[in-house]
Amino acid sequence: MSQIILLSSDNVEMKVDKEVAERSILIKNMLEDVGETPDQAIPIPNVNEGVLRKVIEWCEHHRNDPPPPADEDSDSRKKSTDIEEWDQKFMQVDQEMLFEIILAANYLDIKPLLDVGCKTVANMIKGKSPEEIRKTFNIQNDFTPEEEDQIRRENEWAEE
Amino acid sequence: MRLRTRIMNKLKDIRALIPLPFAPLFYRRRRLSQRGSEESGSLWLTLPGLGASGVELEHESPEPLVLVEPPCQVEPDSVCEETETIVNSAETPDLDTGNPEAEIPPVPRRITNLPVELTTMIFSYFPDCFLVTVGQTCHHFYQICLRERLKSFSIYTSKDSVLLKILEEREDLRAAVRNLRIVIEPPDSWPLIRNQNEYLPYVNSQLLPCYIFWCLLPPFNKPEVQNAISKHFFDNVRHIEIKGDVDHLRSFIEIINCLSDHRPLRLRSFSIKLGDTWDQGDMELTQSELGLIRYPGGLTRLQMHVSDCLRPFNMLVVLGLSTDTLTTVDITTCYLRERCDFGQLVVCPNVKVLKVTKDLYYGQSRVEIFVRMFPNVDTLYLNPKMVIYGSAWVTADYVWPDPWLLQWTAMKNVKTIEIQNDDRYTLPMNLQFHHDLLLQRLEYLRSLWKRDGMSNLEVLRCSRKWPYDQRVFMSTTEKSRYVVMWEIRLVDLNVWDYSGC
Repeated sequence: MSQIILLSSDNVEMKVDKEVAERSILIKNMLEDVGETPDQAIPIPNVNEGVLRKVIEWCEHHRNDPPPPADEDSDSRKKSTDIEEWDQKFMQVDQEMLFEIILAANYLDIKPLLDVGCKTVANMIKGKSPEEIRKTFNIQNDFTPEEEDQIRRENEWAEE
Repeated sequence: MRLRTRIMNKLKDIRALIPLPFAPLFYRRRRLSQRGSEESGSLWLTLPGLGASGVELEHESPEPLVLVEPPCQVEPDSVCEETETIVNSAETPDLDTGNPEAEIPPVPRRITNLPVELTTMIFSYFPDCFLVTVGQTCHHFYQICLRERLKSFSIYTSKDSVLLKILEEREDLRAAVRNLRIVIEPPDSWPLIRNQNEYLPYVNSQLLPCYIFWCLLPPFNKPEVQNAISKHFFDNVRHIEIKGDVDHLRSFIEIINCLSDHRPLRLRSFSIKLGDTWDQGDMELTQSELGLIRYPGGLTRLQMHVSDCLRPFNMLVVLGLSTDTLTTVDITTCYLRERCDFGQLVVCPNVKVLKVTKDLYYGQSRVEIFVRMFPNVDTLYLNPKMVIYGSAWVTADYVWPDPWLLQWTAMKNVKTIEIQNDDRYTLPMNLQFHHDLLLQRLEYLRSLWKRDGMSNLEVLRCSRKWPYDQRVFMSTTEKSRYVVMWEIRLVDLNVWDYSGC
């Protein structure tokens, strides 16, 4: 099994099976362009060590998953937010790490991981009131009372 | 160009940083003060081939690094043309605006700092009603939720729409609308009979005068709807669905004609759903009006589910406007019947996906008509609508396979067939419970189809959604002459509804 080396933004090298690293479409395309397994480290300048380790852990676990359908419709409104048990446990991290994983998945083009991350955040929001959402994510209410009234009026059409 | 986009472009071009095979690769880090002056340039990441081994790091700044274009005031590196400058994101001047005082936002670690496209992706899991709640959290969320809600929205002719008022005022939001659903309903004050079962016995006696009076009333469309269409509020719309009742045919004609006259530029998919509250036979009152309809052309997807009583509805005209572009068609059999003149048929050579629903009340349609019109179909969805209730299905050998299903052997290029069922018809209520029997019958059907000429058939599956939330697929794939692979998987119902035809 050939291996490649990934270099995190904080300059830590990690050896990974090529097959695992190729869960990232960015890396996969890059390796295809290069044409041979490189013996030098591949820089991943937007992802630090901790996050890169988590991403690799996810890729290791899902190394044999079939590739996601290429032409899947982007409207995930119709999808459920169900997450596999292993992925649920994997995503039990603090918010900062969760968002870093989402960003890394987006950057490395790992669609299934991005979906899991987004679903996790969606599940954290689901069913909450605006005040509870603010509390969960430490968001400041920047609406004036007039604006809140205005929004309430605008929302009438949502009931149509 | 936004910084993020530029960063992504850089990383998409990361191969440019990795010359064959990962030879000279430099990252040079320049720390810039807010005034834009160079303070240091001590981060070098070099590879052994160039004499320097390992990596030298500047440790005083733990912040994540991003790749950016070198600022224009800095001289290009003279050592290596492939040098890339890495700048501490928290200290980088805003290169997009040219304002050295502005700071690039820190790497997001909070939900409000995530890029909008990712927040949108998260919110896309919410139904519209919950987006309303989320939008009340803060301004940032409000803007994202508003756009999400606008992506797919419905206009009801019976109600005022605040949405249209918002679009009237905010031109920038109009492009957010991708899927438009127009529901034609009369205002509350109009005489309306909704419950067919309750009133049908009286249609020809007590209520008929009322119905005739009702038909004579002018169309009840809201001028705002047509105004919005004619002002091109929906130019970014990809899919339009018009839903109504055949009783509202004149309103329907006004709206569809308006849409055709002011065709949204990106419209590709069109869906017409006209049900019937009344059973009016051949709908004599409206035959002449059907000829007045102007349909949009150049579509790739077309869905037409029109009530049986609108048999004069000329399907061929609709198809004829998109013969070369259509790839997916979803129709009921009532439009293409025995009486159809073969000489008038239009051929849609690019249709690969065809969904046909057998109408319950009007007997057989000739499959040859479909074969001639759609000669290159490779994926076929068939909804036979056979009525078999509950456990009766188990003993219903006498109706399996439905003769209507067997007719489709004439479509010899088909590779995949799915037998669909949305109500209490054809398939058992619980596909999984009747798994073994169902597989037996599928296999039998597959053998009949293949025997009779469907030599390309690879996948056969069946699905139903009601009364469960998930659609069950059972498919049989012939991998070799003697081996039959069975596949059972659960697929989210709504995904199928959306992405299927």
